[in-house]
Amino acid sequence: MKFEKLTLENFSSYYGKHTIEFRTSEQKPMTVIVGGSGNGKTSIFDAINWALYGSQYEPVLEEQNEKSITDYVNETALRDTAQSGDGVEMACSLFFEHEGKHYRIQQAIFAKQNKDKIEISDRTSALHEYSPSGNFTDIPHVELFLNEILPSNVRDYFLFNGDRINRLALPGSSKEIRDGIYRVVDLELLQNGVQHLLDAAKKFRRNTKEVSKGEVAEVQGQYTTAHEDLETLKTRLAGLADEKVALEENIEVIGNKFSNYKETAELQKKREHLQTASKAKEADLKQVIAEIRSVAAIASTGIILDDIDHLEKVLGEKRKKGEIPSSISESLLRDILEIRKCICGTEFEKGDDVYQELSRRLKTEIEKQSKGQDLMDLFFELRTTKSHIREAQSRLVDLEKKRSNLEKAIAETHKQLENLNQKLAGAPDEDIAKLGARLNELNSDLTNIKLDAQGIQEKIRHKEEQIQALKIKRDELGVQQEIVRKQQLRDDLAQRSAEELQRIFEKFAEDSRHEVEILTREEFYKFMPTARSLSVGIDAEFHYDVKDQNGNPALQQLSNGQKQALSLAYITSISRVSEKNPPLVIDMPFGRLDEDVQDNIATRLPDLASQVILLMLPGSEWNDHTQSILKNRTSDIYNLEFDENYRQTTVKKG
Amino acid sequence: MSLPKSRKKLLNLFIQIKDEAIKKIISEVVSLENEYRSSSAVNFPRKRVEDIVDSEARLIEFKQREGEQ
Repeated sequence: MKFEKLTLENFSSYYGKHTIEFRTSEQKPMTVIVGGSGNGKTSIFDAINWALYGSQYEPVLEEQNEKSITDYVNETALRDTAQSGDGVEMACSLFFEHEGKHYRIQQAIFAKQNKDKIEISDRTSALHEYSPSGNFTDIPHVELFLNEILPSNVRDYFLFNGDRINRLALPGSSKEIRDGIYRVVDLELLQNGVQHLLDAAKKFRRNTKEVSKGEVAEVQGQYTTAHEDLETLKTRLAGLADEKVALEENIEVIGNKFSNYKETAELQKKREHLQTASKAKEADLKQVIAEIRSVAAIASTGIILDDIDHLEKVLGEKRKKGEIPSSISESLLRDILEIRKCICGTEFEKGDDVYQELSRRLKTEIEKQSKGQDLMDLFFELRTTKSHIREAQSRLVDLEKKRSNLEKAIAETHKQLENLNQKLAGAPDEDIAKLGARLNELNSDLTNIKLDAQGIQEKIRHKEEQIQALKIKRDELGVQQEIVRKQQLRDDLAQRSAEELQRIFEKFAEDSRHEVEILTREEFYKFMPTARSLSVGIDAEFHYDVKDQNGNPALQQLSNGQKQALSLAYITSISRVSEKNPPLVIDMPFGRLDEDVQDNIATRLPDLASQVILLMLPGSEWNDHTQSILKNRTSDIYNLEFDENYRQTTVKKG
Repeated sequence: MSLPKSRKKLLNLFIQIKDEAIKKIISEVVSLENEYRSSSAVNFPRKRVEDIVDSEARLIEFKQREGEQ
């Protein structure tokens, strides 16, 4: 089946007639309709559904959108006709191709404003086959025809929205998963058939009892009562099974919260640790910055290093030349004057010429010394200063490196903290102790239910044996009375047919579950190639069943996005099992989808069905990124433009 | 229109029913259920299920009588 064209006339915000063509091909199987919030995107989704299913879809509109079909009649069109008293025709037509033939299905209502109410004066629902020459042939029994090609009971698996993907990813969805499988392979037909046959058997048993006499009547009475008891037991067992499913779902929900809580506690601990580490690093950084300031002052004097080097050189040369005295010449002169003997061997006395000459030289040396010492001090001070500057420069390099590392570490810690804060924003606020107690309580209830169910199953076995024994006796006695035998035959036929159909139902249900399970797994791996190490399935009780490599339950380890991918895999597998190959129409596919899976799902979307129609929000859904993934596989892009003043939507080809 | 895989599987299970009378009853009841699938459960003709069973019972009785003769 392939949609070809949708026309809307005075439907919702679409005043007058609007057409959207779906000219998809094998290479470009997608049509994208882009519209902001309130611009008429979901109205198109509703229009497709209404065109196909007419009055069957109207209760869905009331339940989901709290709108009756008359609320969809365009306001402006109603105002236009208010004066004349003529009605407004609101219509949606969907043109489609199925197995080489072309059809048009149309729903229309004629509505009038009557004071505050909008009243429907007439409505039509029509399906036509049309030829390229424009000839139309009426197709009677629209519902029967559509049930064959696109059954309304599995509509939710072909036409759905992002909310549905998210909802099916949440704990407690096993009933919906089971319903989907039952519906898609018509298991409901078999289930209902079993019930009708059981009802017929009951009726024939009642007839038998009424017409039998004496011992036959007595045994027949016991036989009928045993059947009634068996039915009661089976009803109780079914009730317990439902209770068990409800309890398991509750346990799943609370277990999920519990695990989230544990995760939250771990995240909070991690956050505290990061906050402490961040504070310590910030204190370190403060200290390093202070040290940098002080060291930088010294290091900044590095610009005078060349001058210092030059001065040191000049002073060194002066020392070499003896222009700067050393303390040796002073102490030598003092020693010579003390021993009264020159180094050349000449002896002298105090007061003679040599003594006076040497005393004069000593005096000159002492005078020189006082001047030279300053220069010597300067010489050594310059060396020390130079060493300090170089040390400061080297330290400054180390400190800058340390500061850069600390700043990076702090930025990284802040980023981690921000992520943690985001994760903790939606964390459960229940008391973990209460959750734990509730979980224990539910688990205990579940154990009791399982024990009760075992007890009832035992009683059922016993009752079935009793029925068999009574049946033999009843048949033996029944031969005596012709009319009784006749009714017994009918009871037996109905009962055995019901049992045989029940057996087929159980086998078929299990086969179908298994088939959906295989397809769901395959599709999930296509969405999430990195999760191939996980074993993914749908268990006998229709819960998602995910196990890690060691065979341990791992559903709760999946990210929210991965769970959504699993639910989308399930939805599309239902569509595949149906073998109807219908178009997939998804309203806001990425609306509730986690970012971590958006790319994988967007990449896979064009291959999910032979035709995919997406209704997307600009920006958050239809953006440069998704366009780069989807544009090459998209045949047409339509933009919905909404005029605030006239409250009308126009469809513009993008 | 070729039969979907799921219908083929169902048919295969149905073929395995050995008792022809049971097979006939089941096929007619499921067919009746299919006919009324879009209608409300209240509208389902329960009497017709009893008639289907009765009709098969009559055939068995007829065959039994023929066998006796």
